[in-house]
Amino acid sequence: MSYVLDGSTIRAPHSIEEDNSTQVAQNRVLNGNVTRDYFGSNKRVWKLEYVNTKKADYDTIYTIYSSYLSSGAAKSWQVTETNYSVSSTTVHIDLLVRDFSVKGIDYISDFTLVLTET
Amino acid sequence: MQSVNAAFTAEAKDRTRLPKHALNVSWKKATNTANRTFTIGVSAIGGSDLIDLEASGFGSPSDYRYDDESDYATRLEWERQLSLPLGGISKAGGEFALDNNSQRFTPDYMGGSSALFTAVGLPRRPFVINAGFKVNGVDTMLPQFSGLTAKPPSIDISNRVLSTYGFDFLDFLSSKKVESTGVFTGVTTDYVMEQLFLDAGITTSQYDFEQGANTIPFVYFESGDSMGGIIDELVQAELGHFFQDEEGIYHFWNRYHWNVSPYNQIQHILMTSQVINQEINPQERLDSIINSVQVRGDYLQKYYDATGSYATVYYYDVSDLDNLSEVPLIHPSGNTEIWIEFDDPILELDPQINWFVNTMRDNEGDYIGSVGLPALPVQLAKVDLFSKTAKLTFSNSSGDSGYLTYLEMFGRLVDTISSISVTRTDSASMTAYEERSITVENRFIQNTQWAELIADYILQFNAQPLDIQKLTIRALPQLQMGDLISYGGRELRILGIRGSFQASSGFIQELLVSPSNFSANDFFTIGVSTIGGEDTLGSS
Repeated sequence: MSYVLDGSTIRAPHSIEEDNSTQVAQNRVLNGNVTRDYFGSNKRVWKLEYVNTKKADYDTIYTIYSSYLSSGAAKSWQVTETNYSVSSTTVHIDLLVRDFSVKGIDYISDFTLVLTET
Repeated sequence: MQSVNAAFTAEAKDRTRLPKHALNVSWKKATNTANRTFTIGVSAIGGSDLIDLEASGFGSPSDYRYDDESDYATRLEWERQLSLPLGGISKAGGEFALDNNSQRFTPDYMGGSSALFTAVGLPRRPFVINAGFKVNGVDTMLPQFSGLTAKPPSIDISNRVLSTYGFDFLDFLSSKKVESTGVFTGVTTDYVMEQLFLDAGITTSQYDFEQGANTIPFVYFESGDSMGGIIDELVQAELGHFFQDEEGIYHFWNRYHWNVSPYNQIQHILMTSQVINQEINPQERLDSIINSVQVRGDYLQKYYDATGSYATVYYYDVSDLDNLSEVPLIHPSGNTEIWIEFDDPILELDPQINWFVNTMRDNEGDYIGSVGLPALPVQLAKVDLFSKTAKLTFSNSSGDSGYLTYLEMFGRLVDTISSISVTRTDSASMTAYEERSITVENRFIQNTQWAELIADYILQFNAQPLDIQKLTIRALPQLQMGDLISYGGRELRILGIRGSFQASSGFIQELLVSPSNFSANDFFTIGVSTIGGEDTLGSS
């Protein structure tokens, strides 16, 4: 049971949101019908929220993100949880704001990891 | 209309559709005469075989090897429209935009290093657009456009986008020069075009011409004339249409095209459920009116002298010259070419040409060449006739130069007897809409009856507004320019189609339509009109 990004197991997030992203053009025709043209296949977007995460766990994710930026190549993504799974696919990575909400020398932080299916 | 099966038609009309596209670009413009039309079970998906394109010689989309850029396309657009009211050549246009995040399309001079980096910045690259739907799990597409890019693409580095536009192969045809002079008598429009295509190396499989309604007494054009210009004039002289279709086939439609099956039958019934918008432009509606037509041409005939023999077509005598420096020089010990220009086109030259060559410009020296004297050193070795020029090649076996002091040539020429000018007006339309006139001037309109017929035809369809409308519809890629459709209980002729394939607006078309079906029913047409019917005889 794990979250695997670019072949490395990353910490399970505090919460995860999965969105569907379709490319669709919608028109309303003269008889009132609503019609749609769907272009290409559905692409999923995962938002992984991390709260009070230790530096080492953040560093693991940040290393993958840096590799994505420098290589320009999408990374593999897979989830194998008992009640939630994602078959291996490739994703673009966005690592948004890192918020140091807890004072102290351990630098525990909150951040959001966004994975967009290619 | 392109042929499609019931499943395709059902998918095109479905409220939820899965549009599919293919964009192929020949960046390197490598030719491949072994290219085949895509054959199910034989050709490989993503291979070099092309869907539904006809193989041929010059000006054919299937001559080239293509790269499949479908995965990078973000926008595809294309359009074609009949030229109205006079007809003639109709060129189609296409454009596309590609995602360049991968830097695939960045040229070498902008730092690119892909396999295309030296080719992508070049002009006139062939490209083909196909579009359709996923039907029962299979991507089923129809040809929509084939042509050449008009200029090197624009590349936006920061937004990572490449975009360009182009025209079909008729654009190339327009700039092609005729290689040999042509003179024809008593031929139809299609015959002349077939000869032009033959000379250009275009095979019969690459075109489909209807028989021209205009039998032209004299057709002439010079080597170096624009092929597209000649075709445009020929087709306009009979209000026909000339274009290249989605599959790359050149078509000539005469003006009776709309009278015959299947073009006089409804090809498709358009439902309201397919129509997104319907527009009419009141100003364009008025601008379409023509209620005063002037048609001009020349009445030509073959010219003979009073006895019915060859006429003098060129005469030159040095005694008539004021400036002896203009006397043509015949060089010693070799050949000299002298070009002659005629005032009118020459159908035939009499081999008997009278000429003298003298050692003195003023003809006071010795004769060293003359017609009928083969012993003299200067001889007329060869005569090449072009329609309004001739090249005379003189050979001189002596070491003395000479001067051409006399030249008389005989032949049959085409002479302009008189000018044709026919004016027709529609007084009711002029009262309602004020005078709106047009002048048609064409060298292939060569008799008064034909000019009258042209004027009457233009007035028949244009004295009242054409009521051209624009229908924006969910795309039906099988529709073609010229199709007759039914919408809202009315028959509409498709005068133009603009297709657009992009995620923001979907797969849509803008149809330019008119309730006028343009069938020339008033004139007796062999094979169409019935004996004892209403169509009139007497127009040539």
